[in-house]
Amino acid sequence: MPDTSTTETTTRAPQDLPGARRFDEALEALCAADAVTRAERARGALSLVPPLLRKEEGLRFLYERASRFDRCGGFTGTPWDRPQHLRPRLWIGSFGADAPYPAFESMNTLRLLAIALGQHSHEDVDKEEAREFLERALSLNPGLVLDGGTEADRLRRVKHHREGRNLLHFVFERLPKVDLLKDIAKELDDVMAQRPVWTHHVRATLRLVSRQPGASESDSRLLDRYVEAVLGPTPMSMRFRDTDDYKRGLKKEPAAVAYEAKLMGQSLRATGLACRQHAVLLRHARGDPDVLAEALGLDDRGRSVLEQNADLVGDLIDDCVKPGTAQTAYGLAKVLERGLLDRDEIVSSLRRFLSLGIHPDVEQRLQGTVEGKSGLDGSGILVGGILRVLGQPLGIGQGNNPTCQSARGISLWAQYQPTHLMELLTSAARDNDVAMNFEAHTLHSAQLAGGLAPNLDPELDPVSLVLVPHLDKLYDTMMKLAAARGEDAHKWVNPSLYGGIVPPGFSSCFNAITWQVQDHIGFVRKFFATYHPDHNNGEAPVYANPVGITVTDDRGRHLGLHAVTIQRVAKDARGDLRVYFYNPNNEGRQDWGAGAKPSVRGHGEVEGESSLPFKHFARCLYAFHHPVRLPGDPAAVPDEAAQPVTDLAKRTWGRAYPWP
Amino acid sequence: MPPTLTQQTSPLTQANAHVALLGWSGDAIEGMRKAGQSFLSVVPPDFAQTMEAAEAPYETWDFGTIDERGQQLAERLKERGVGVAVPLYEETVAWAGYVNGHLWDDPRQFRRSMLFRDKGMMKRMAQLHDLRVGLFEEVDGKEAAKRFFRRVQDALVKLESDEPVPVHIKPLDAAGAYGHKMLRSEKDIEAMDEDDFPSLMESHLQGQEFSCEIFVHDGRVRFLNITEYVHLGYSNFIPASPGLEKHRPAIQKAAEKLIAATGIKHGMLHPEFFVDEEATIRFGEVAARVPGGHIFQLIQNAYGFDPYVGMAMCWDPETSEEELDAFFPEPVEGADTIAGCLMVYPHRKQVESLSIPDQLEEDPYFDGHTLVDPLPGKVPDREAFGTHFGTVFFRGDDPDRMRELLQHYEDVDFYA
Repeated sequence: MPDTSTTETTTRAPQDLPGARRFDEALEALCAADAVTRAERARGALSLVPPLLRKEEGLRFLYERASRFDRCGGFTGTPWDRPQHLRPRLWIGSFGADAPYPAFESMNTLRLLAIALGQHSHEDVDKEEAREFLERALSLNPGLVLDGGTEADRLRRVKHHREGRNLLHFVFERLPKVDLLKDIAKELDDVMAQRPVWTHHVRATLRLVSRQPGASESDSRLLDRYVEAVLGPTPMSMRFRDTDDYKRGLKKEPAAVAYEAKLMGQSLRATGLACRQHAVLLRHARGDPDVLAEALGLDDRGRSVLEQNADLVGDLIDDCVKPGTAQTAYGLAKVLERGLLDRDEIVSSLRRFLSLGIHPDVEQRLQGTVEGKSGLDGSGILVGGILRVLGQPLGIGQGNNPTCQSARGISLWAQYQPTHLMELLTSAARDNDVAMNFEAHTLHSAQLAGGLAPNLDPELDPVSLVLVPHLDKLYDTMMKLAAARGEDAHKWVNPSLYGGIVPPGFSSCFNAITWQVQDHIGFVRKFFATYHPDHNNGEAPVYANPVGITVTDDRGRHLGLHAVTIQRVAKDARGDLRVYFYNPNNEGRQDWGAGAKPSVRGHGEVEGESSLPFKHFARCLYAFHHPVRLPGDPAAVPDEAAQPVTDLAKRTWGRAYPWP
Repeated sequence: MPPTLTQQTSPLTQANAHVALLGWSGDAIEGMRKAGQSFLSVVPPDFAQTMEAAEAPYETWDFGTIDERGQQLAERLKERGVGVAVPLYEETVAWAGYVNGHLWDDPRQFRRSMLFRDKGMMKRMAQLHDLRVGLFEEVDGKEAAKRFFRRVQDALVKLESDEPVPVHIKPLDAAGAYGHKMLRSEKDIEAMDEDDFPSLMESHLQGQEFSCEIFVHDGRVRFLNITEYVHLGYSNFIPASPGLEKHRPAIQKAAEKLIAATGIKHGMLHPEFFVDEEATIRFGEVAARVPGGHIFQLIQNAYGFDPYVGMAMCWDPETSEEELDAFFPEPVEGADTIAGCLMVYPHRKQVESLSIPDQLEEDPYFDGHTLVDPLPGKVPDREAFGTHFGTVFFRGDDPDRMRELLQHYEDVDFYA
C-alpha cells in the first residue's frame, strides 16, 4: 500500500482557480481509494489536469500536489511507476497523444521537479537523476520553449504543445542551468535570423531567461543582446522598464532623445526585436523625421520615403504603434525601405484600413494578438499587422497549424501583390468572408465547411489570424473540386489560389492516383532544366515558385508533405550552388537527414530565407510549377547530375513510397 | 476436472462474510470496505487475481444461465456465513434470487427474480397492479409482428395513407435497451431476422422518460431517486429538475405499486417510467440491479452517500430502521448539488484521435471524464447503450444549465 499519511503541507485550493477544488476532491478520492479502484480514481484526477496546465497558477497548484499524487499511487500500474526507466526523448511524445498521456507526463514532470528541488523523494530516483531527466527534456525541446514546435513535431502532431510548453517554462524557471541557456541562445539566434513576423514566443522566452538567476553569469553575449532588445537596450530604457516612466524620462531629458533613438534603431535592426519603450519613443518623435529615421535604423531609401510620407507615417504610428504592438516598428522600417509607401495604391489602401469597420468576431480575435492591453482598436492592430507582413514577407509563419499553403499565399502576395492581399484582408476583416474564383465556381469562404485547421491555433500574427481561416477553407475546397483528375490537384489549385505569378506547367514525381513514384530521374532532369544555371540557358524563373517538398527527420525518414516557395537559385560566397527558399514554419535549426540541413544564415540568405545545396533541395522536391516550355532541355541533363539526386530521394523519403 | 480457484486454499476464499456481492464491481468493493461492512464478492474466475491483489474476500463463480448449480452456490455461501446476496448485474439477479430464497427459506424469491428476465411478464404484473402500460404483445415471428403493428395502426384509426405510428420491439430477456428497435413501417419488420424472435412489441409511450432508483426495505420505499434523462442512453442528471420533481408524489405512488407488483421486500428496483403533461405515469420496464448510465456515481456525486452501501443495507432484512434513517438523506433537499453525465459516442465511422474542447474542460460544471486516446479504427456498431467510448461528468447547481450543457456537448464530436 502506498503511504498516504503524507506530512507535506499543501495549500488550500485557491478559490479563484477554476477546477482547483475539483482536482483536490479527486486527489482525496485517489488517496482514499481501494486497490481495485485506484487506477480509475487516478484517471479521474488526471482528467482534471489539462485545464490547470494552461495557467501559471494552475501549474503551481499542481506542482504542490505532485508528490501527494505520487504517494497516493497515482502512477501505479503505468510506465511512470518506474521513473528510473523513463526516457527524456519520449517526453514530447506524450503531448502528441491524447488523454490521459499528457496529464500523466505532466504530473510525472512536476513530481520529478519536486524531487530535483528536494521537496519530494522517491526510492527509485534521486535528486540528481530527476534533475538530469528534466534538463534533458528541456534541452531536447528548446524549440518547444521558443516557438511552439518544429515542423517535425507538427507532423507528428504535438497536439498538446501548449500544455507541454507551459510545463517546460515552469520547470525552466525553477531549474536554472547555464548550458541550457546556451542551447536556447543558439536556437533563438536561428529563429530570429529569419526575422519572423510573430515573435510572442521568442519574447516570452527572453523574459523568462532574464529572470533566471544564472542568466547574468552566462557568458552568452548573444543572449544578453536579445534580452536587452526585448526589455530595453538603451540607457534610459534600462533605467525605466515601465513605459510611463520612460515617457516622462524622454520629456524631462530632451537632449537624450537622439541617442536613445540611435541605440533603439541599432538594436531593432540587429535583432529584429523591439522593446515596449520603443513604441513610446516613436510616438514621442512622430513629428521629427530625423529622429524617427534613427529610431527605425533606416537606410537612405527608407529615409527618403519617410521624409516624403511624414504625415502618413505619423498617422500610422498614432494608430498602430503602442507598447503592446511595439514590434510593428520593425515592419514599418522594412516597409519604408521597400519603398512601398511610394506607391499610391498602397498608401490609399492603408488609409482605408485605418477607418475600416471590423466585424465583431474579427475584432475579438485581433485583440488577442496583443501582449497585455493594447489600447488600440482592431483596425489599428490590423494595420500594424499589415505593415509587418508587407515589410517581412518571408517572416510569415504558419504557427502550430497545418496551414503552410495559406501562410505561403500571404507571403507571395506580400511580395508581389500587396494590394490584392489588402483586398482579401478587407473582406475577411469587415465581412468575415473571402470570395475567390476557381474555374467556373465562385467560392465564398463563409459558406464553406472543412479546411485543414478547423481549430486554428490562435498564436499567429494579426493578418494570418484574420485571413488563414478563409484561405484554408478555400484551398481545401479547391483541392476537392480538382481531385480525381489523374494529376496532382495543385497543378490547378495553386495558380487559382496564388494568382498569375504561378506558371501553367507542372511536374510531380508521384502518380496522383496510386501515389507511386514515377520517372523520378525524368522529374529531376526537368527541375535541372528549369533552375540549374548550367542547364536552363540562363532563363531562371523570375517569380518565386510555390513547390511541394517531402519533409524527413534527421535520419531521413519520411514525415510528411510540406509547402515552401523557391525564392531563387544562386551561388553562395564559396561558389556552391544553393536553392534559397521560404519555409512557412519559421523553424530554427533543422535536419532533414542524409546531409540535408537547411541553413538560415551564413550562406548568403536574406532575412527569412532558408537554403540548401541544389542537390539536397532537389532530393526533397516532389512537385513544382514551370513554364510549359522548359527553359532548358531535360534530355541534355547528364546522368551524373541527376542520378545522385534520385539515389538520395530513394534512400530517404522514397522508402515510404512504392517505386517502379 | 482441474481444481477451481475456490478449491485452492487462499484465506480470501475462506473468510466468512455477511453480504455476498454477486458480480465484480470495484466501486462496490471500495464502498463496502470504507463503510466497514462485512462482505465477499462472488466473481467470475478471471477476477480471482484482481481480488487477491486487492486483498478482498471472494468466491469465484461462473455465472451464465441459472441452473441447478444455484443450490451449490447457495450452500457454499451459507457455509461462509452469508446472510444475503446482492445482485449487481442483470446476469446475477436470478442467482441472487435463488441464493436468497435458499438463505431465507422463501422459494418465491427465485420466482420473483425470474420476472425481471421476462419483459412481457413484468408488464402483465404491472398491469395487474394497476400501473398503466402500453399495448403490448409477445410475438414469435415476422407475421405476428406485422399483425400487431397493423392492429396498433387500426386501433388508432390510421389510414394506409397516414404516416404509421412507431412501435417498439425488443428481446424478451435482454438487459436494458439491448436489442431495442423502433419500427416505423412493416418494411422495418421485413428487414428483421427470424433470430430476432421471440420478442416483445409495444406501442409507443408518450411523455418524458425517466428512471427511478427505489431503495426498498421491508416493502417500503426508503429512498426514491428520480433520474432525469436528457436523452435516453446519452445523458442524465440527478436530482431531477423541478419540472419533473413536481410529479414526485405520483411517482412515489407508482413506485409503491411496483413494489407490490414485484413482491420485492428488500433491495433495489430500477424502473423506467414515462410522465405526460397530465401527470399520467406509464410504466416502461423494471430491473432489480445496479442501474446503468453511471446513475450510482451521480447519486454519490450529488448526495454524497454511497448507493452501493445503501443498496446492500436495503437487501439485508436485518438492517435496522435507525441505520436506514441515519443513512439516507432527504431526496432533493439532501443533495449538495446536481450531478450529470454525458455518455460519449463517436459521430463518425472511423476514429483516429480524441479531441476534448478546451471550453468543456474549463467550464465550471466540468467534473472530469473517462475518455481516452482511441486506438485508430472502425467504431463498433451500437448494439445497446453502455457501449459508449467514455463519459463526461458535470456538477453544478442550476438544472437548466446542466440540461443545456448536456444537450450542447451531445452534438460535439469528441473524436476525429
